[in-house]
Amino acid sequence: MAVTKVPGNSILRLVLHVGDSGSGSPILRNRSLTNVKSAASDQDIFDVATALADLQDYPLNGVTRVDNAALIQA
Amino acid sequence: MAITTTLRMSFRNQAGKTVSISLDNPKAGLTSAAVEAAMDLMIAKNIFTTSGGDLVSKYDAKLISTDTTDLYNPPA
Repeated sequence: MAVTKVPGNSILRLVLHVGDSGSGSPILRNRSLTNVKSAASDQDIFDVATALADLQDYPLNGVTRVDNAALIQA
Repeated sequence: MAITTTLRMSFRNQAGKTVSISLDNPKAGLTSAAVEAAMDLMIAKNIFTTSGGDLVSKYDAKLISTDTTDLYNPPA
């Protein structure tokens, strides 16, 4: 009874720096784009993330990739 | 009164359906060439999937401004 891992869709999360709080710490906002292929390469996801970040006002603080997988007992 | 702007990029997928991706706070003075280049890149990199397959072509791109007027606020 082995458990197999089946990848599901990933999520691309743009972490945007929208401003600073009164005490000077950065205020970050996430913009998540779902339905990213699990097979997509990190480089491709990063390139799309930076291209999208270029279209909007806030500086990009970071790019996060969230991978999902289902565990199925065969 | 507050005006918020959203950039909405629409694509056609393999099933011929329209899918859109929106971004808030688009840069001021965004050119159509810049938006088209980003859309072309998204299609070329082919990282997104939809219920109707991959994104295959650009369909539409719009800047949508929403003007909101507050008529009532709960008393503090």
